[in-house]
Amino acid sequence: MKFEPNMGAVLMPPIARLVGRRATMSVRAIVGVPVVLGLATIAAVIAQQTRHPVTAALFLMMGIIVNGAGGGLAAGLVTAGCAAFFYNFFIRFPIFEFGLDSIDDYVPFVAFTVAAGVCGILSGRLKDRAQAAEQASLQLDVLLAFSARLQHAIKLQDIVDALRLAVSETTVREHILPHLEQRHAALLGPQWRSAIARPRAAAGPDAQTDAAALQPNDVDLEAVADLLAMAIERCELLDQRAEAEAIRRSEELKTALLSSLSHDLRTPIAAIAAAASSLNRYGEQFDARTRVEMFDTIETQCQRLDRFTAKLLSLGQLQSGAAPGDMEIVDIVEPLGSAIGQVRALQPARAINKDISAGSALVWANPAMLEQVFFNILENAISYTPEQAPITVRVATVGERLEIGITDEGGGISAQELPYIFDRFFRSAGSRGKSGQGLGLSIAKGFVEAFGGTICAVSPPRGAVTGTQIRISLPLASSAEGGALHG
Amino acid sequence: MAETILIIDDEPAISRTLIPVLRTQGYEVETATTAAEALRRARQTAFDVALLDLGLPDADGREIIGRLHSLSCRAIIVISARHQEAEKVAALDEGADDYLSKPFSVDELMARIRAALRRPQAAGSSAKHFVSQDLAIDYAARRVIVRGDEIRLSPKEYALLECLSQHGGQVVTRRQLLLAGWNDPTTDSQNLRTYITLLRQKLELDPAEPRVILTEAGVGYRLQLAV
Repeated sequence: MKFEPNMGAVLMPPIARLVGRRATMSVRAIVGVPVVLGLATIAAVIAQQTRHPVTAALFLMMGIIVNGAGGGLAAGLVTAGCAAFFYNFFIRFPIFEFGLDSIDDYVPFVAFTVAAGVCGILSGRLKDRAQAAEQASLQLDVLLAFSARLQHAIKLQDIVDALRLAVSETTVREHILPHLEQRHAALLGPQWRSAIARPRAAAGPDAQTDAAALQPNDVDLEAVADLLAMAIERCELLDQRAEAEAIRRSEELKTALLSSLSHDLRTPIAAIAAAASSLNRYGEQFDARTRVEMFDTIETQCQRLDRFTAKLLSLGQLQSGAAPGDMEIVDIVEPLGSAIGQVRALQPARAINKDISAGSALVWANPAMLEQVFFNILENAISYTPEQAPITVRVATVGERLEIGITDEGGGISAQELPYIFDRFFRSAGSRGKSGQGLGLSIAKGFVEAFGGTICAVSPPRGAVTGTQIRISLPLASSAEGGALHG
Repeated sequence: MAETILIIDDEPAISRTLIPVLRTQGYEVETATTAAEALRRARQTAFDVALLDLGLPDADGREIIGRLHSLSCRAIIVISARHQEAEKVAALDEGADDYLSKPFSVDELMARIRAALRRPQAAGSSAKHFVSQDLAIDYAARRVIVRGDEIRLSPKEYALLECLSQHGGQVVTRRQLLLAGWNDPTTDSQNLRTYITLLRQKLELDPAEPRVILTEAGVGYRLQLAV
């Protein structure tokens, strides 16, 4: 125990606190204090009976110290008061009788009472301080955890969760929200109110009880409000950044789309314009063969433009969610053969092998759109593989489904890019700079799915080292829903 | 000896059309479809003009501009369907001499090729005079004659006109002009617009409808050789 220089200053605040808000005793103290007091008194009486009055006084003093240290200031003072009474009653002569007759009676009694009081106050105060320190450290831990959670908060909901864990609802309503700036309170308030409408369990498994929550008297509410304000500002900024990022991405996509459209529209137009203006200006200087070649260029580039326009229109059709036109029973060999024919016209030297072993190849589809599907896949294959690499088209029935595989022997598609090849406007790293819009495969996927089929890509195909296989699976017309009605 | 032209474009339809036209005009023509092939051909032959498409399968055309120049390719005309002005400017700043947007007419292409060939190999070294339909410049005497009449230009106006005329018929980027007039490419290009307006008032018959100094939107200006 450490004595402080000014006894008055030591004694007065605890008394004020005792009278004031802190005159609290725990249940344990209420039971323990009388027990200790009783034991000390019994020991004192026994000592007195055996004519050891000093030992008797010391026993009582010990009781005061034990109670003060164990039960706090209130317990210490109560014990001290009782001990002074018992001293007078049990120990001072005449025993079992009150009364102070002479100065010789006064001196030991007053000395004992003062000593008892000082002991009770000092030991009790020590206990109270230890308890207060413990409480403060607990609050500090809660405050630290609270501020750590706030620092990790990336959205308002995180802030609300942190508040719910650390601070009681009353404290927030009465002490924290009014401390916030208008703007911050307007942001946090609605979130908070909707959060407290939910059961507390929603705040998380480690939700604190009210006892462990931050008390408005113990924490600097200004500091808490500042922490909250910073966290709210940060969440706001993060929100704005995420929004800006989303806008930037969509702008990037638009730019890529425009650049791609511009390239794919202007390239054929450029060839047509160059050929037409050459014929116009220098026509008579060309020999007949050159002139025919130029007209051929104009013709084929017009077809190319037409195909591109058709693709854009198909895309629009898919995007607006239009029904896949007129569906009918289609023998897959017909649109497939027609698509292969178109591709051969584009690249006559390319070897395209057919392996059609399906007995029945009837599916429920729109024939023009199905042809577009095959053409897009084949066109993709011839565009991105060397001209000498053959392409194989296989058709087979597997159970109730028709499986179509279109396999090229090109360089294949990397595992990273494979999941994205059906995405609109996706173009592989190797195809950058080539013409093509990244539309073909996404249109094929949209159409196949409209017919109730599936499409996927395998690279390299089973049993091969390089190349890519696009696999389409369509329900056979006999098993398709509409097939029974129309077939 | 005939001047040689290298067409670098992965689009066969374009080169198939341009080859016969350029040949009838007396040029020797070679083609390349990739950046690598273009550099290989440039190593073997010193081309007078390279027509370069920016969207090549193996590289961005811009990346090979510097190397084509160092392989003694006299002039590089970028031909591209890209619509972004920024890319054209970047290609020109990279060292390209001119650009042409797809689609183009063969007359425009011929005019650009002639302008490129007309330019002396080392800029400004040998030429003493500039003569076009409307304009004559004596570089040594710093005299400018417009349709027969001598006009007086401020030093800055003259510097800009000199720069434009040294690239006669070709596009000159704003950056190049700012360097020529202010020696500082970060100068506010509003200054440049002001001086171009002043020049047009002295050179053009109708400054509101310029025919001598043409604006290349978003890129720079071009001094027209013949109307």
